Amino acid sequence: MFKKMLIANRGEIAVRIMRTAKEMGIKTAAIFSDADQKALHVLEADEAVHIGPAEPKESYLAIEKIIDAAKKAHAQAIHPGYGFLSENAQFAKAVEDSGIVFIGPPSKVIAALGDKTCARQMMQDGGVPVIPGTTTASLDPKALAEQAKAVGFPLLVKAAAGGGGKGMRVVEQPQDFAHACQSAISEAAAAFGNGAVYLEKRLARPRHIEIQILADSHGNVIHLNERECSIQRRHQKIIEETPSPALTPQLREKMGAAAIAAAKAAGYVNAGTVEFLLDSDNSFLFLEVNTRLQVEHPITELVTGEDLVRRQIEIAAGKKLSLNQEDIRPKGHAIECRIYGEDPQNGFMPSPGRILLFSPPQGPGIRHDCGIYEGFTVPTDYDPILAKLCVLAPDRPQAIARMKNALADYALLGISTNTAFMHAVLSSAEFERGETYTDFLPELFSSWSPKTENDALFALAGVLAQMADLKSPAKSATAGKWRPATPFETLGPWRL
Amino acid sequence: MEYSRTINGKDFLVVLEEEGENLCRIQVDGRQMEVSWLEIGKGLIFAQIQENGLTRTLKIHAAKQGEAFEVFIDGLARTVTDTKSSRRKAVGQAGIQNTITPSIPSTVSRIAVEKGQKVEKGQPVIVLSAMKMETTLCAPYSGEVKAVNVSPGDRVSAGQILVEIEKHENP
Repeated sequence: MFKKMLIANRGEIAVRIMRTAKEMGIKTAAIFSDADQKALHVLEADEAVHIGPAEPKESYLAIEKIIDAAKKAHAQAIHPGYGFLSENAQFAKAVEDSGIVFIGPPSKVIAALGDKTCARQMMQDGGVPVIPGTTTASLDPKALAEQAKAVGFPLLVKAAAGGGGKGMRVVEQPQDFAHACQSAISEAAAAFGNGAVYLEKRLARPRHIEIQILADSHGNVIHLNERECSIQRRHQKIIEETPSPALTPQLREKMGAAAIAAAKAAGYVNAGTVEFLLDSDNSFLFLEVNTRLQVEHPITELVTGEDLVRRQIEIAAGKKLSLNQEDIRPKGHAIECRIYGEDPQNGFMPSPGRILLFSPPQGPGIRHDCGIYEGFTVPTDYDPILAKLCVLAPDRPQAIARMKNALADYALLGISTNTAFMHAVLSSAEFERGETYTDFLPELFSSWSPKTENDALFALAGVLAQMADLKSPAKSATAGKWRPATPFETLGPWRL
Repeated sequence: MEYSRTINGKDFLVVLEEEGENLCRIQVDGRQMEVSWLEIGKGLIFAQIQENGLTRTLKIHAAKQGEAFEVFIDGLARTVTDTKSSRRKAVGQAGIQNTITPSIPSTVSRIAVEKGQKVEKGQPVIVLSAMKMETTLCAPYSGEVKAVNVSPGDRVSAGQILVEIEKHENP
């Protein structure tokens, strides 16, 4: 096994990967930019290498600098996390060529699947049903506009090198195409260093369902069931769950088999995810393969009891999978909520800044993957994901109740987050009924704002906070009249 | 003691009568309550509220942000400002809402208008990129573009006026 590995990422995912590395007795090296000198992943690592300015192109996307850092740290392997260079075949190739092990699929597989149009062709050839659209990518808005007429509206403009909803736009009508196309191209160019986009027909009311796979370098492939990721805002998943309320055991088995077929068609090795859209008639269409650890992997870990990062590391080290398909027996229901530093009341604008207070929830069945701490200043330069809150419970209603409690207990002050918004989503009758489609948020929550009926109590609390602030800490700890309320006093209906 | 507090543009008068150590009668928004509280370490207050003969406990997290307090209760965070200081800010903010400016530091991706061009209310004016996401700022009213103060690739700060639009007199 490796003695030391470098994590080519930042934030919560870097911290999460280090946790498994420590359990396995592998030393960890972090990388960091100017903006991340005091970031949690730097503090948690055994050592850290500074790699450049805040600008991602000069640091977290700088292939040479990262490989140099790994050499300097004498790391034998590099884990790319998600985002940044995780699905960049050039990076994987450069790592392979340097004699360091890349914890992920071979660069050739990443290249083939990372080109979304090439992947669509591959799956079509392998008998996996794909969404109608174009099979070539382009940077030319005029040529794309011509193709758009053939595909028909509404359609999706998608980055060929894409993932995570970056460089993707929905176009409802022909007159909006030019602006959307330009915008997708420049966002894709900024995010992936490749602005080429392709077009895909937009299904009416699909669900986004993905299958987790594990494949070793000895030809064994298994799947670890599905994740339902239909709750998306601007094509970014925000709430995921497993199992999906939409799948029957038969459909699950069919999709699992299709995912394994897709992995075998691509010669896949390591952990990966095959994404499908499930149409209203229960037919499923191939979307793409994500050749990396997914943001939402913890919910699969919670229901299966597997550590996917440990499996990734073992597979990368050449070990044979010690699991059969029959060993995968998921138990319970898991939900993940992505905690973003953004302001739902202000068009979900990113909300960077200093965290003044941070007290995340605790309790049975709660998992918190976190990249921040009280006193940390969230930089403006990167994706606004701060942490991931996950719950595991025996069934879906209990998991929803557990998550709602956990979100209500997620105290974070100083910057805005989306926790109250997600609480409202989980409280909706539609979510409770499992009616989750990719247009769920735009349809039901486009004009959401937090309830204001308790603002009088907030005003009162603000005054108490000021009074407490003026007192010396020693004195405030010895309060006079406070005693627990008796059951008699709490009887009856409240006005909250 | 009377405290004027503002939350999201709405004013509340909190009338407080101290009755003892961490114990007081409070009137707010037409409600009468007796409140006792306990601060557990920095930023966490448990308050017991007696109202209409019933008692309940509020778990309050609070942190000072400049002159204001950020308060978290039961899943919701609110900024509670002293009404006097929030009035001063509101005047400033009303001015900002009518201008093309980012709320956080950003990079200019594209500019969709030129000097002298007529624009309609809601028309995309400039596209910014911040935290890897693109955001489009639109014209707050119909008018004519008087000046474009930035170029694509420029780093811009919050509050900086990027494009100046002169409002049409009769919209």
